[in-house]
Amino acid sequence: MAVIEVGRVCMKIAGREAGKFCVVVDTPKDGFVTVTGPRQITRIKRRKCNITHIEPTRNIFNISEGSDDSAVEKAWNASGLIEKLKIQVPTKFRQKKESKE
Amino acid sequence: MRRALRTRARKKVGVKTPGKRHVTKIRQEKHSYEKCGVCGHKLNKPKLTSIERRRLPTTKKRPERPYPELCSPCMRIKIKEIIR
Repeated sequence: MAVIEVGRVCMKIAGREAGKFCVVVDTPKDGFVTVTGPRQITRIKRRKCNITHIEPTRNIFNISEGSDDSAVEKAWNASGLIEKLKIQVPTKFRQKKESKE
Repeated sequence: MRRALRTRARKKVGVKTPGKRHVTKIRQEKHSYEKCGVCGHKLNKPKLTSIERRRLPTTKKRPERPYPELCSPCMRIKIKEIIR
């Protein structure tokens, strides 16, 4: 059974960012959690979120509590979930990756 | 009543004047509140006449989230079904 914990991939179900994937970054406290996309991959900014507005999935990343966006981005690229979940990376960040290669 | 005024957005009201004459007045009607497509609850939108609706930009006539034609509880149920 999927539980909301550090590194769990979730989907937001309420608000402007509903229907997009995000990653939990710290332990739940008082019904709130810090969540990040990061913005370069899923367009979700790093901010506080209510637990009832999140739905956990089966995937989980091995990241430490309070890790920053670059560590989460590495976990996304290493896992291969961007193609599996059919996430559309925003175009301005896509071009930056191609120019680096 | 002339033909241009015979639309369903206008209603005829019978009025009796102090000079004891019967007169029909014409009144503009607003449409009813919009409702959710699934559960039928009222949506949080104002009532607009067709002229006001034409002049407003699209972003001011709907909420900025997926499935704007549904109420927010029905939208959450629909997104949960997508994951599972």
